[in-house]
Amino acid sequence: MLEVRDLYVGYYRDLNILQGVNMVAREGQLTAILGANGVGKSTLLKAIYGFLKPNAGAIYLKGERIDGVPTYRLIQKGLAYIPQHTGIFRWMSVEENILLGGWTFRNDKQRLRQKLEENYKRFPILREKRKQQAGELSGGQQRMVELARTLMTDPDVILVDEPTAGLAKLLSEEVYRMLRDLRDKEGKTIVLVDQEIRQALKIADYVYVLEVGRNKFEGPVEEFTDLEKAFWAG
Amino acid sequence: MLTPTVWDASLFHASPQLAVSGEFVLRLIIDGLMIGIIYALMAIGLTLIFSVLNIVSFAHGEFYMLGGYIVYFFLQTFEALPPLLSIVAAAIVTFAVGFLFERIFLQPMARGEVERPNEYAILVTFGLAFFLQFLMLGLVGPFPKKAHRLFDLPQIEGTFFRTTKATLFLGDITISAGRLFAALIALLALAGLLWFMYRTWTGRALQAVSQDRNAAAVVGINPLNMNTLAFSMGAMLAGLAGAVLVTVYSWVPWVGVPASSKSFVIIVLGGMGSIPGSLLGGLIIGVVESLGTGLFPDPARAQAYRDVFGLVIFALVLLLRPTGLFGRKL
Amino acid sequence: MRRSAQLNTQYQARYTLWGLAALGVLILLIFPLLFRQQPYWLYIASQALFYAILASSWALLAGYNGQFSFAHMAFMGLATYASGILGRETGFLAFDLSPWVSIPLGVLFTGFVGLVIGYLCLRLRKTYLALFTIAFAEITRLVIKAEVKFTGGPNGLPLKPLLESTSYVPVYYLMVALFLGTLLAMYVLVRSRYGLYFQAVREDEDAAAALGVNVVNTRILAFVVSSMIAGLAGAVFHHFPTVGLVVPDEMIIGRMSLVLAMAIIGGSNSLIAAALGAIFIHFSLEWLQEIPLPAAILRTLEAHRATLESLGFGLGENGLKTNAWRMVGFGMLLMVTLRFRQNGLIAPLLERLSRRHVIQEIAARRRAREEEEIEVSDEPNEQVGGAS
Repeated sequence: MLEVRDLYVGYYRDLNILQGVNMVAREGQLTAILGANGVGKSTLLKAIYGFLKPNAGAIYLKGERIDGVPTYRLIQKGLAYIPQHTGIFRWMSVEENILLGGWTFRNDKQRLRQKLEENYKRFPILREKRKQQAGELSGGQQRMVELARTLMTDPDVILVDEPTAGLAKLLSEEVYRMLRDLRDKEGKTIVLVDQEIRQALKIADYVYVLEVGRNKFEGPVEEFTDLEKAFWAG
Repeated sequence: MLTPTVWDASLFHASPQLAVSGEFVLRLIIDGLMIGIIYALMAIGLTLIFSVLNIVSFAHGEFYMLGGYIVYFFLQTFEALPPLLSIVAAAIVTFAVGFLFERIFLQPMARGEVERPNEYAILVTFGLAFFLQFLMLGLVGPFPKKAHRLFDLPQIEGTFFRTTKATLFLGDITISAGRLFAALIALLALAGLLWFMYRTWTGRALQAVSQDRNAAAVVGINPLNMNTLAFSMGAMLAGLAGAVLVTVYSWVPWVGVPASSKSFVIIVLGGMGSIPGSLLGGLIIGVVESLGTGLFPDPARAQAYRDVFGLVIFALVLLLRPTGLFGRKL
Repeated sequence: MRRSAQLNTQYQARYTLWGLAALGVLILLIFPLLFRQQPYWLYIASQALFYAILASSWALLAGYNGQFSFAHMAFMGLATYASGILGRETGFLAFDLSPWVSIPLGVLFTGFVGLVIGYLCLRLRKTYLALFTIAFAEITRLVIKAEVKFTGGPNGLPLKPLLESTSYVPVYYLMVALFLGTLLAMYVLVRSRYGLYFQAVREDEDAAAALGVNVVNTRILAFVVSSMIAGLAGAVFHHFPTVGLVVPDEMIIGRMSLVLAMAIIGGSNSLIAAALGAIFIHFSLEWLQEIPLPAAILRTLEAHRATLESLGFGLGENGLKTNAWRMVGFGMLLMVTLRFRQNGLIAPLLERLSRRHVIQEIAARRRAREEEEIEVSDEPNEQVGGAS
């Protein structure tokens, strides 16, 4: 579904944070990318989503090469991204936020209404707060708004960057449950970058471990039960 | 060298002196509010530019100047056409100039092709101001021009409320028709703008880019196009402000300088990037200026000091509270 | 051996630069001899030097330190007015001082105002600083214009002559001395460790602070020095018997943009390039005022006089008057320079000139290699070469 081949990315030309990373996210699976702080997990997602320009390597989505495609075109190709720091529109209402997720089909009123309704069914609390300013919501609810906005377009692949950073434990379990539901009930392909290794391993199908800009291990999640301790060490 | 020019002849003229009385103060406040709406319109343009492109346009006053001249020449050339069209023409031309400038000079900055983008933005918009000022000086010369008012008032006779062609009387308070129409057109433009910003998809997209650029790109909005739109619309709003005020004040190529510093005052006051803040800021500056000039003890110096009041407030706000009085995004 | 050759060419590059500088100074010194019969051009040259000092001191503040101040002309005017007021015979604060005393006092006053403004601006960065300094410049200008009793108002303030002679030659040489003196002083400053601090603060204030640079002092120093130099240039130039008057309209933002354009087109990262930019632009503006044209073309143009005049051009005795259009051209040049040549037009040229040694460098390398092969050791730089 989504494939990264031998990717070199850096903020400067000669200083690559990612040095030849490879990754494949298979359809309908939740692929977790793990590793210590600063190994380039978030950088990988930013590069896939066009915020950083790769110095070398290629990215394919459904067989089509997408590196060099500007960010704002990717949603139409069925690739969505939820950044680490909530990227909601703070001063707009919850409903306006969610509707903006449908920007690419903004003239199709019926589809907009239908998708909005689906989202309110998915997250009933958002229906209650739909007139409220999004910036006033709690952290977990802001995540929900973001997720709802992302789901407006029905993306095939969703990139998620540390969705529970800064959330209370109860809330973060809720977020993981939502991610699992997206895969199990709606068949989405998800790429999850996370520090919460235990939680990520609970829901992942396939795991990549990065180490300073390179692949360290990869394998189906079953192989990782014993290795968990190794992560803490490394 | 550059001939020192009648910089101040064009500035907003003070009201004639009267003894300080209740009616006089009320009249000053009404005057201030009417002009304040126009200041606000212009400042909202700058706000739009600032909050979407994250730059301050130092050429904002020159779009104001351009808008005024277009109305003046339109009225001169096409006497048969309805005068309101002149204002539409000013809006179209300033929008187009803003569009071209953004595409040629600012877009490379947004694409990261320019070193030190902050400094570049200051200097290149300043360069545009320089260019436009002398372009108009070359085309129209340094002598003040003034357009006559677009419409006459309908004749109404009453004891409290009566009008002549050029003046509206409310009891002892007089309001000039030119100012009244300028304020009404500005109000109309303002209403249109608010509708556009808060009720249309494109307006929401502009808000979205101003609130979180990356998130806007993630939902599929092209931020570069929004940059162009915001800059052109900002230029157009300044052009509109000039277009309505050219019937009130006389116009020289430097008329934009005090006008743009007023916009700076207002957006700083309004919290750099808030439309409601700029609206309120505009009204405040209009009234403060009007009262300050009208009530200044020495009438000879009052007019010269007119622009100083706003600037002093500006400097103080910048120093004491750089986030403005009402911080909020678009 | 190779290293000796490189050092050698570095010295040569430096010689080229010094040679150019010496040539420039020579031109400045013999200029009056060439234009003895045309005092007008001597006056223009002194004015060009006045702008050169303003542009290079602005480059010190903006180009080296990254503080985009639009109050430079205001500081120029403040010193001039302070000196003029102290030198008056009657009126408030009039002490009838000689210009030789009142000018330093005026400059000190400007330095003090610069200190206060620089201190107030410490928290403001880039855009906000630009906004604040515009406000300050406008307030200063408007107050000077309004306080007619104190400053002479819009008609200006007459200033005592600095020199008794009414010839343009001593005036010109005094301006040359001032220009070279301030340029040298600024050059020494940017070559000292403060110059490094200036640039460190420009690149990244927080990083510079983290590395132990005193950001507060550095920014204030740059602000005070550059405003004092601007003030000095203004006060001296306006005290000339050939000028003798200062008006508030010299402090308009339009005039400020001209100085800014001079520094940018020259190259605001280099003091000398900014100064050369000012001299070049000032002379071109003078020349463009009436572009000399052959009589035949003038006769043709005469037929279209009305059209030309309606477009803001004019016809003179010997050529086409461009009036405001020359400034339009410079405005365009300013924007294009910013967009495509951020280092200015003259600064890269100077750099290239000083690299004329590239050919010599290649030759020297070849020679060094040959010498290495045959191991001859009578090269003057043998000691350094031997160490490598």
